[in-house]
Amino acid sequence: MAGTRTDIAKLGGPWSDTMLWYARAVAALRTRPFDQRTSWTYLGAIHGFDPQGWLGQGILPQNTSAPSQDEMRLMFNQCQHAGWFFLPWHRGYLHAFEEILGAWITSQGGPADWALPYWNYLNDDAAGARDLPQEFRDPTLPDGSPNALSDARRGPATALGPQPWIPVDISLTAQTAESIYTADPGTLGYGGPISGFAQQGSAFGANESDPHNLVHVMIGGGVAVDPPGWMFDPNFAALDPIFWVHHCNVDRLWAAWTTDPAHSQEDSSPWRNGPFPRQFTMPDSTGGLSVFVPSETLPGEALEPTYDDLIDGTGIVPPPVVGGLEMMAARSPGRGSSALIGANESAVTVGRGQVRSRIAMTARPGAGGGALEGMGAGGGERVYLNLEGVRGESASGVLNVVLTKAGADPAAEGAEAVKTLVFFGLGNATSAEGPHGGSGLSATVEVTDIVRRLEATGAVGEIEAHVAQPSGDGPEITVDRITLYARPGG
Amino acid sequence: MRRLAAFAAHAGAGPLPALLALSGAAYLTLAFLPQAAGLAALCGSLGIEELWRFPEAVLFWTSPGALALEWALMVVAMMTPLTAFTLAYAHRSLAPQSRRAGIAGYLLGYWATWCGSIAVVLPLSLLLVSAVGKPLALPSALALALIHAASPMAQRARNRAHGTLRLAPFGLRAVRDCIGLGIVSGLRCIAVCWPWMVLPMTVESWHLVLMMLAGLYLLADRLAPPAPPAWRIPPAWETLMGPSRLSVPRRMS
Repeated sequence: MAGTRTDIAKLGGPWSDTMLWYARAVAALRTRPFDQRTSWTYLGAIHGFDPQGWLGQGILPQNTSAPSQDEMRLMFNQCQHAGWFFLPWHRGYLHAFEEILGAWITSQGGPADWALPYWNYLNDDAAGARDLPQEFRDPTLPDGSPNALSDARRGPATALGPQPWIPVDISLTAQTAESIYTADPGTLGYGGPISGFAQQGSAFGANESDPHNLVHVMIGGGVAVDPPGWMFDPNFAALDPIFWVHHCNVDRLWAAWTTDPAHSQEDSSPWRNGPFPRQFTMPDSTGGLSVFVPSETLPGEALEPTYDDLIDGTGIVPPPVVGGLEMMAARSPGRGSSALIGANESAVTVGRGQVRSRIAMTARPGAGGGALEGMGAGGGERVYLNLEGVRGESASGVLNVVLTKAGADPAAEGAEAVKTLVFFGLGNATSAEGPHGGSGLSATVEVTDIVRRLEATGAVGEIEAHVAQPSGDGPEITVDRITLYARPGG
Repeated sequence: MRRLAAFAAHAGAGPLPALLALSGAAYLTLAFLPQAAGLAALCGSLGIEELWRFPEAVLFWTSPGALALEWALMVVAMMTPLTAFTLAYAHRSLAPQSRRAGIAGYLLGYWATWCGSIAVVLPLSLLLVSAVGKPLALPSALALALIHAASPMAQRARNRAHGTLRLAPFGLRAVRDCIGLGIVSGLRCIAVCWPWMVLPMTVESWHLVLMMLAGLYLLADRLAPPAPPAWRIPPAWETLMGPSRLSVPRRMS
């Protein structure tokens, strides 16, 4: 039985007992053959699998025995991104992983209550919280044996924060800015928009956008690293042991968010029962397979994890109300209270330079009598920028967007005017040759302050979006639509 | 039970119930149409040595108007439920004031494209019936459809059918884009479904029942998520029966 998940920084390390057992277990699972359901590579492929890439990087030896095509279709490439099930699927995934590692640790005489630790990188009260924990950098364990936790392909960053390939910092904005789990079209919800089974769905939720996506790209290293670090690509990410402590923290952020009585957790029947026809299937420590549904991941249910603390580094103001989870049935797609208030004319392709595209406004946020009339808006409308149908060859992509009045110089805008959007899994979402339709990804960021500032100097009929890749040298990225949506504040 | 619960929850959400109602209305209308000049009767009326008389048969043996009406109803009945995913995308992408016109444009584009497929499906059906004879026509058509459904070619087409295109959100451009999306969706859908349209044409009796069965099969096929193109058990089977547990290990190379 899994114990309590604890902050790595509070384990008394480096190389606490919990981390030592984690490293040993990872090393043991790496010795297991690919077609064994409890092997490191099998567990990694559940998240995402690139057969040629894995063979090319020597992750799998040539002629290795693989599971059957049917089993691979059932089990691999399951990770849910840019959709409704990002949080519950990863919670179930962490549970299965923890149970498999825990069984091995117990079999070796380790603690029976071993639990996955988490990397509490947003705990500003702890010095060095954003540094990659030492256990993931040391080449060897304290006894001099190879360290499985540092055996991963990563980018050059040794701490989380703005990097040349992703000039934005991680934050806890999602924890307090988004009080409803399900996103209305064109806006951010905490957990994402309604979707079906979606390894790379259509649009990211707030938690997934920041910090999840940002941490992946910061550690992965961007397109300048060739081949990219594993965390940069969903088809490799779970092979890096740091993936699991990162996701454990993302999961903990969700656990903390659900303790705030002001927040509304999705609980409708389509969400509780999960997608159809493909469902979420995980292995257990005996190699058996079982299906889980999202409702089992909610508080009080079988897959609910236990954390040592839900306050430090979560953005949730103490004391959380235990059992204060408020449930709210989701609205159907398109029946939300958001409104599309502006769109650009045509698709744009972003290569080395900056690209401009004008967004024609059809309604003014906050003007009254506009798109939001009758929505019962209180506290002013919130405005969201969407980059929709984004496609590119790179495993993930990053775009900077500056919004100005038409014809204005973006260089005259301050740093706060630059919005950075991360498209984790861009390559997967672009390819129609895998478990995707090739429709690309969408990302959303709140731009209420920027649009209000532009409106303050007079009515704006058009807003110009200046779009560029921060590194300036990545493969081309195309953006089908740039839109602005508004919704009532709060 | 979990699969059933998940199916029930998802079938009740989005546009699928309305599309199924529209499909049902088309089936009902077909059931009350006179059958003498119908599509199935035409396919059964020519031998392979008489194929050259096909245009004459369309013009004089049957009523072209009745033929077109029956084909259009067949398309609406069988294919409309398959648009649920793309219609939900269009609904999300369009401004509220453009939704009705956009969705109507999408459906018109989609149905019109499918109606045009008669130029391929009817001669193919005729060829099949004439080549193998009436008794073997149905099993041959079924075998053709199943082999096609299991093929990498069909999976590639299926993946593309899950794709979407940019839609302008407002005004006439929204309607134009939706018509374009309907046409592209229709073409992609034809690439996946064409053998299943041949199937009901191979019988003169039970034509409607076969259409309904093929329509349900195609809906199950459409619900399956995209997958890497490879020979596989037809995805509709997995939608209906659950994932396959066949275990044949393979070597990676």
